[in-house]
Amino acid sequence: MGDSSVAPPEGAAPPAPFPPRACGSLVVAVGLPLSGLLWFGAAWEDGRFLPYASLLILGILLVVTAVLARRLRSAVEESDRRNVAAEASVQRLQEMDRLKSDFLASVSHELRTPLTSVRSFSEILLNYPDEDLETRTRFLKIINEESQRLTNLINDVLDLAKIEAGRIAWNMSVCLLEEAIDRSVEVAKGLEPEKEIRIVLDRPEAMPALFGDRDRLLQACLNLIGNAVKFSPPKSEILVRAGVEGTEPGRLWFSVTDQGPGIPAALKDRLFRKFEQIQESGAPKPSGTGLGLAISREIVEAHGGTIEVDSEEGKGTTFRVILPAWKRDTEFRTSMEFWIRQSVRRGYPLSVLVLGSDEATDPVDFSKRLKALMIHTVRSSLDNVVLHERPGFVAVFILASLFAAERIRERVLDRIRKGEMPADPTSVPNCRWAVEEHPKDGADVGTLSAILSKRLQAPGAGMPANAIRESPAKGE
Amino acid sequence: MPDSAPAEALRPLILIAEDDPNIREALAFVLRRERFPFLETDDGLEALRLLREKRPALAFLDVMLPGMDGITVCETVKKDPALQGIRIVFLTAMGQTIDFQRGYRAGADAYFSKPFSPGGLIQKVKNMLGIS
Repeated sequence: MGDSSVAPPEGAAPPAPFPPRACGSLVVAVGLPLSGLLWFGAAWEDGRFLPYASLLILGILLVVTAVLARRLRSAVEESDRRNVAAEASVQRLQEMDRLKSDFLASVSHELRTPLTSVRSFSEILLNYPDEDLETRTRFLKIINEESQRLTNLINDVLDLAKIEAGRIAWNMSVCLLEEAIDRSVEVAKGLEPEKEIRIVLDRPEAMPALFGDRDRLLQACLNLIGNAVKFSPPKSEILVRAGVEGTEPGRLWFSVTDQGPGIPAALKDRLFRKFEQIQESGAPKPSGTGLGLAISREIVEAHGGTIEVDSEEGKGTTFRVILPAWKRDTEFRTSMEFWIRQSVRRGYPLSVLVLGSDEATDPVDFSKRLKALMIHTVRSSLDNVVLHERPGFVAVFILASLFAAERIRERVLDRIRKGEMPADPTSVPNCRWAVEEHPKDGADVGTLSAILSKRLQAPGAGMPANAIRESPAKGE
Repeated sequence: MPDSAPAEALRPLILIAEDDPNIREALAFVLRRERFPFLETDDGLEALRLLREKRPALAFLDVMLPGMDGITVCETVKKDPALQGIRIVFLTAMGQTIDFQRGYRAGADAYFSKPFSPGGLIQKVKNMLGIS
């Protein structure tokens, strides 16, 4: 998890070239007496005081002082701004550190319980070899089950840690939500057969596709339906519904409703936290790792969706997931937003420089949507491509036709040749950059996703090799 | 729950307060094999009731129990003059120093962090109760 390549936040470095406050004191301490002496020396001639000369000198002194004061003030302000940014960054890191420690403590706590069973029963089997076969078999079964529980727990913990750190290998493609739903229902029907729970599926014949990771979506669906099975009373019914909201491209939703004990209003906020399992007093501790909902939420949010819960104590619970539908025209944006969201989750300060324009992908709209993701967007003309030197800058997306992208690439190469831009972006601290082009027809969005995913997931690298140097423009 | 073999009457009564059914079963098995009479519960409040009514010589308390947490149960027992002499052994999945400190501050007589060895636990119990 220790990722040494996390860039410091914008503005935290480098330090001011000289300490502005000390400089200010120097000006006051040396400048004022010195200028006073000068004034008297210049204005006093032959024992007479020259009024015009003295006024002139006084005026010059005032102007010089004003200029110095202004410079000083802006230097102090700059320094304060840097301090505030650095402090915020320290606080954020401390908070992350605390969360990590809490998580570690919870994980170790959750691992100890099944491990106790494994250790206890194996020791018992060794120490009491005279026990009858039936008892010994039962103990072996417990050891087996508890080691399975340990395995599940470790898998879930690793999954969650990977998703949270943005290190999971997302396998994005255009896929169907109903496939995940149908498969989950099928699997869930085999869970806890002794409870004889009826699972009713109600969904439209055909639903729009979405841009997502098939396996992860299945994992989220199965978590929710499996949870419903776990908390349902015997012989009850679980209703799984799905549908479409809005149009062009609209949103897909699915919901899982059980007739279980429900969730007290006070505990709803805790539901998606790690290792939180709502336990009825007197009821046995629910099985599972307490990570399922946290993982499901991470998966849904990574897809730009939301997950919500509606429940009344004693009357059952409904979980509802809403996901953006895929549309060919917006495919490029959807995939870009997905990868950008991932890089943000990894904690890279990110600016996106959006260049050019294209009929199919409106950069203004794209910028707006990125802003909604709290991503700083710079929409720029070719002339200030140099903006890429901002610390923490990650990607230049050229949203343009192939032809325009080629021209932009030429211009960028030209700037590099003239020394206006660094040829090796790694020479700029914390700066990684790449130029991606977007062919007009949007046909190779898969390739683009693959490039980005490779770069965002490359170990230790926020981004990118130098795309420009890798693929020089024609004629070079 | 406890068998009533005649030999068991010779050994002191022990309470198991633990909400994981498997761990409870392991403890119960070892106590039965070591001829200790015992009571079981998975709830803190129920544990306190049994401690007051049955006066076991020793109690295994899980720290995280529904109803009432083990630390509070222990503090209540140690403050109650009528319950003096009951030994409290904490069994907990929290293995950090601060957790040990909390347990001992509450007046625990021993503290076992999970995963523990049932054999080691029984040996400790025998030592504490002066049974060879």
